[in-house]
Amino acid sequence: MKPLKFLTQFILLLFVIVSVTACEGEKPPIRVATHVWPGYEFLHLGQQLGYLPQESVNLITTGSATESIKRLKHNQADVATLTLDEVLLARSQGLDMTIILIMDISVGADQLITREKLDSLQQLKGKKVALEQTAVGRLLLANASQQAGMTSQDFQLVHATIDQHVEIWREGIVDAIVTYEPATTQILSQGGHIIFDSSQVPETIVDVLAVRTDFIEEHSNMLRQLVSGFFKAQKHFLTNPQDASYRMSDRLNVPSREVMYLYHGLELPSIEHNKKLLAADNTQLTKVAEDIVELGLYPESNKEMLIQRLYSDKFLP
Amino acid sequence: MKTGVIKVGLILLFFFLPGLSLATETFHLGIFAYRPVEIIEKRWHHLETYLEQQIPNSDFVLHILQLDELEKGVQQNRFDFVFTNPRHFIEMRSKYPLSGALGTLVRLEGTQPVSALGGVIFTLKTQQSIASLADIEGKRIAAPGNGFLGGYQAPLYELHKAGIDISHLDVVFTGSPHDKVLQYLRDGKAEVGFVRTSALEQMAAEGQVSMAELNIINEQRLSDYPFVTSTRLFPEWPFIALPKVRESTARRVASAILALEPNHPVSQQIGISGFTVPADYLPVELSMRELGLPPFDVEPNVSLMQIWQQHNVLIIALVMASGLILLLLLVIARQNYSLRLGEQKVKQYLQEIEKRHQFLRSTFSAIPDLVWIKDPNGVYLDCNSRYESFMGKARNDILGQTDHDHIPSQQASQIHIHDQEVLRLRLPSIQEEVYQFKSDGHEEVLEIIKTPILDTANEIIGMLGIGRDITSRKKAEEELRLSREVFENTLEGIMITDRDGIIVDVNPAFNKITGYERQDVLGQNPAILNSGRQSPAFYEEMWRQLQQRGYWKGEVWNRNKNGEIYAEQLSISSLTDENGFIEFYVGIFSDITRSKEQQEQLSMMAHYDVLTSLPNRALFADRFSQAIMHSKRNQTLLAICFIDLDNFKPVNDNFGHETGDQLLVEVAKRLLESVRGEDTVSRLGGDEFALLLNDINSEKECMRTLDRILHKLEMPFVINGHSHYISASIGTTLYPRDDEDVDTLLRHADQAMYQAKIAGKHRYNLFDSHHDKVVTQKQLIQDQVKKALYADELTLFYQPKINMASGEVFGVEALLRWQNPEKGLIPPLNFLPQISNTELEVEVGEWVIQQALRQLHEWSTQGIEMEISVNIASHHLQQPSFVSRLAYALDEYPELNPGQLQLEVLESSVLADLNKIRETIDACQNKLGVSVALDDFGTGYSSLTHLRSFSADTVKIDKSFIQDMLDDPNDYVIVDGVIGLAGSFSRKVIAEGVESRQHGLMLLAMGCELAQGFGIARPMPAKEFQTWLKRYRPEQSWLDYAARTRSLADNKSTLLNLTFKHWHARFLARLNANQDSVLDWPIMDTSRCHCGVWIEAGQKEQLFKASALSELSLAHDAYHANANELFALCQQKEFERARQGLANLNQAYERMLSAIVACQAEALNPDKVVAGYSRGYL
Repeated sequence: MKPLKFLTQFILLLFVIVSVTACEGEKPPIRVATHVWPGYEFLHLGQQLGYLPQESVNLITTGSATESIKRLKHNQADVATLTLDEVLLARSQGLDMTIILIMDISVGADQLITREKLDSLQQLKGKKVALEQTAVGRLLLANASQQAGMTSQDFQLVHATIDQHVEIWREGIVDAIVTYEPATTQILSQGGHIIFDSSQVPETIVDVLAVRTDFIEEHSNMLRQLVSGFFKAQKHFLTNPQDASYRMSDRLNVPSREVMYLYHGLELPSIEHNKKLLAADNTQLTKVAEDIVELGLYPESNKEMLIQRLYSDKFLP
Repeated sequence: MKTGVIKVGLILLFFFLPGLSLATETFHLGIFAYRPVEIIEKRWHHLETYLEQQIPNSDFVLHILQLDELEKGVQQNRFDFVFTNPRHFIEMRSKYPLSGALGTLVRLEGTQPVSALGGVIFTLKTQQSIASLADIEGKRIAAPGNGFLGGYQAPLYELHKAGIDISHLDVVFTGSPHDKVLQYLRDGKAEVGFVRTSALEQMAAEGQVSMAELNIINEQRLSDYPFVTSTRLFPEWPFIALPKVRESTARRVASAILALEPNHPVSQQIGISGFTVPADYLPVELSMRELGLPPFDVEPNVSLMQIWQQHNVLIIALVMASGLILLLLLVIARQNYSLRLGEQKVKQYLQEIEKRHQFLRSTFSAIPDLVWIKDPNGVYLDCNSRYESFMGKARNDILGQTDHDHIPSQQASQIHIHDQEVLRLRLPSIQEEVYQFKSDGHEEVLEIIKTPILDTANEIIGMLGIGRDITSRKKAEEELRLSREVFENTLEGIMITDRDGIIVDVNPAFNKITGYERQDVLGQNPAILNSGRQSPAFYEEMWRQLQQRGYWKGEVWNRNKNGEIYAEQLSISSLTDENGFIEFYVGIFSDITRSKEQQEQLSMMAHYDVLTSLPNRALFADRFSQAIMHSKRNQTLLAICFIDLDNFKPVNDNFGHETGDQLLVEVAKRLLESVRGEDTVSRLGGDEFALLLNDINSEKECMRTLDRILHKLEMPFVINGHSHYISASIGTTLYPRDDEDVDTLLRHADQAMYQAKIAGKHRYNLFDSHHDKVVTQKQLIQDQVKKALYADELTLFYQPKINMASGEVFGVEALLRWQNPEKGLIPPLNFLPQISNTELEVEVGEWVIQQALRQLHEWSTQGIEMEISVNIASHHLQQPSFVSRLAYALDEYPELNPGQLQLEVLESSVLADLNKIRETIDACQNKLGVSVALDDFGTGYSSLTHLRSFSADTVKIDKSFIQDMLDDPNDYVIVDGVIGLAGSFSRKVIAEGVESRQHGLMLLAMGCELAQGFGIARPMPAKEFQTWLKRYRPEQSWLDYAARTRSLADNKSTLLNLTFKHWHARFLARLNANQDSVLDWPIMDTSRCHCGVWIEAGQKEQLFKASALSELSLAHDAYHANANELFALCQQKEFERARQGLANLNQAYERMLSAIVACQAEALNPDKVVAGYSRGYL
């Protein structure tokens, strides 16, 4: 009797899967808004290698995370590559999003660079610091300040988006800058010193793939395919870096031989690592989210609302 | 020992070689020849030199080899270093002990260093059909060899990733170098090429090919990779040290090659960027594994131990679960076994019971009678199968029911009462019961024994019924009674004999027919009836048939008790017993003596001509159909001849029918003499005969017979002392050349005969060739008539119709003419018959009606009120739309009185479809108001029925009768009869063909006042008619005669006067004419001419004084005596003498006239004034 019941359930399950697949086959491609960032680039690599075919995944290149969020809001995209704080920002603006994948973890990729070589951050007190009006910058600065016994209020903050960073630095307007690749490489080449980086705050600055929560219900299968394609591309990158370099150099705007260098300071979490991080009983991500909320970036929001059901591991392969 | 000696020898040899440093070591470097050997040799010998410089006391030897040779060298451990492609490296590494790579090649492309390679998939531009990877399936691929990475593995992996089944690819290996791949494509040996990256660019640089000639498939966008690529990239070639190389040497070589930077002269000489730290060759291996390329094309061997180590927990669980299931199964099996044992026992008991039950049931069913058991209340407890079939119901439908459910309640109640009686008396009873069934109401009769069933306590527990179906016996009894009835009362005589022919029974009719009483013949042989008219053979045949078929039928002449012979229709049947032996014979006969006589007579009349005893037309047709078979079998012809006698009518007229009849008999004899016995001579009627000549082989043969006949018939016939000369015209047609039915053939022969007549009589004519002409002529004429109709060449002529008594012109008959521009006026008989029964005929008919109406209208505007009669063809009249179309035509002229239009319908046409024609005529008269005339009356069947059935207003007497009525008393009688008939049926009567004053007078005397004919006016065009009408003056003699008050005697004497004068005129005309004149003599027979007939009739009547009649008769005889004298002279060709005798004849003529006047004057009943007319001569 029991095996029979099991078999029935199995057949039923098969039937459901087949019908779900059949249903979703008719659907338009999933729209992913993404801007250039080494951790996000596996999506494009996957598309080049045929793991994420254009028929099912439409990659929309945006200039920044802000634009990506805008697109999500206007229903011009379903999924976006964002940092954790950007997800929280979107949520605070009423756009309910769910994290389904940790794409990379900054282990030094986000850096605080000073023009002069300093012994302590204290020396930077009252100086102009450029940073993105995003939590990553704020979080890094906050963490750096905290360790130096200061707060973010101790600096003159200059807001600049990532595409302005190199220019600002060249013009000498600021004394320090919170930035990340590919700007870092160019800024360092003009002369700069890393005084603090994200490797000093493990598993805090994470890049994620987030989906509009209302989109999940009817597209879970497509999302699963998206995540699976991402990991295939990631594997290709890791096993055949030479090929991957040639494929990625164009978008990352560096010669192919320098592509690998861009990944210094980035941890690329494997499937298993993702499972651990996104497990419902893991509090690490929630804790970071709480920290970000504590920064007071989203003043009018209900803290609980921002954090609850923030992520899901059910789309991991 | 031996080896030791050689070794020592070798060492000694080294010592004695002068200038050869002991430290010099030789290293063999194997290089894979991916391009032509000389090119590689030229480049890579710089490396050889470089390494010799870098490694002290070393001597490097280059071996530039193909893959298999290279591998062989490795296998034999001949090399110290190997430089080959990654794929080869991986493959070798899995087979032989190889150390890792010392470095990875970095190529130089322009100024760019490249340390990755891939594959290029390409086609010639001329090859249009391949645009993507998917198109490659099924195409022939050229690749340098299966050991190549860029030239084979990388493209293959790309196809695999694109979902293409690589196991079915059609790949041809060209061998090294890559240049051959291009050559294969150019030679058409393949459609797609695989080469490694940079190979194409190198060939282009060497001028072998232009990139513009090529199509790159699946081109990858790799930003700064300098070569076109179709695939993923893999690390460049490894430089490998083999394990036997000392580590120190390996390190030195490694550092030497890694020192080769792009600007190093050696690098530049070789044309590379240098070497870099060894790359990870894992992607190469992974793709090889995924593609299943050697050496990964075999399934990995997994040891049992490995499985155990990996899955030990699962295996233990499985084993335990299996054990548990096995245990459970054992328990179930044991329980099953004990259950089955019990089941078997029960089954045995049941089988035993069933067997006994079956035995009882079989016995029950085997009883041939109906058996049933009811309980004391009449409810069925059981019944056997015989009862089931009797009731027509299944046992299950009977049990538990009562008789009320099967048969009508009244009967059921009766049965029930009887059942109760049996049970009450406790005694069996026998009786008959009739069952009527509810299902279909049929009845069956049963003879039933009912017995009460008692139990041991003597209590009634039921009633057993046994019934025998005696329905068929009852029926048989009934049938027997009926048979007896029939036997006794039938009008047919019946005689039954035993098998020896001894009479055992006869019926009363036998007595009536034969006169023998029953007791007279019982025990006798039927031979007592034998008349002796049948031969013994006849009886033999009869008995033979009886024995064989058990049945005989025929006609027998027997003798009755009084000795009279009678004919009987006899049928004898034998009756057999159940073993098939004859038991009785039954003879049934009826007296057919009378019918036999009649039959013979009828048969004679039906098949033979009474006068000549020749076969008539019917028998002729019969013979013909028999002859057809014969003709077909023998491939011979049949001749069908139509014979018409020439000059026969005068014989009949002059010498009377008796002479004519005798002549016909003689003709028949001569015809029979002229043909063979198997031929048929038939009389069709009058002086027409038909011949059927069998077995004709040629036309000539037929002609000979016809010649013979003509010759025979021209011999004089002597009858009653007179010699008669006649001849014959014969028309013949030959079957099957003329492949038609007998009627058509006779008509064809008739047509041919007619041609013979026209051609001058006394000859024969063959239809055959003529036939086609007739048909084509007919079609031709139809076409012409059609044209004429449309070309307005048809026109109507109008012939006036007058009332002779009043002189009034009351109407015209419209007559169709064809005004042919070339041939002039064509009379209707020359074209109307050709279009008869065609659509064209209808069309022409419609046209005539329209023209007539138009003419009526025209005249009406001119103040001329006329009746126009038009001839309507039978076929036209039968058109379903005739009435409606006529109505339509009339509607065109609403002011016309429809009565002014008269339709002349041929008397013969009404025969076609009596009812239909009657309906049409009625509709025309009653609905449309047009009048109808029966045309040519007297020529057809002139049946009283027709005259009565068809309410025609007018009867038209055919002109042939009018023209001959003065000559021939027969024609006179017909005209007289028609006039009388028309009067009786209140129809108007009009005479056609009135050609003379005498015709008119005669008709007036006979009571017919309406007339048309040449004697009044010929048909004329409409224009002329007006002029004619203006000038028309009525015939005064007719007016006078009609105006006179006439007694019956007046009329009669007028007739006599007219006919006699006419006779005289004709006689004189013939006498004075040429001897060859076509004019006939008048009727010479005294008693057959008009006067003779008149006098004979007059003597029987009381209209004239006997004395006057007697004088008339004498005068007539005297006159005829004179005339006959002159006639005889003429016959003897003494014309002069005959003319001299005319004076006497004239005297006799005068005497006749006086006698007629006397008669007239002394009429007995002058006051017997004719109201209309009286019939007959008097």
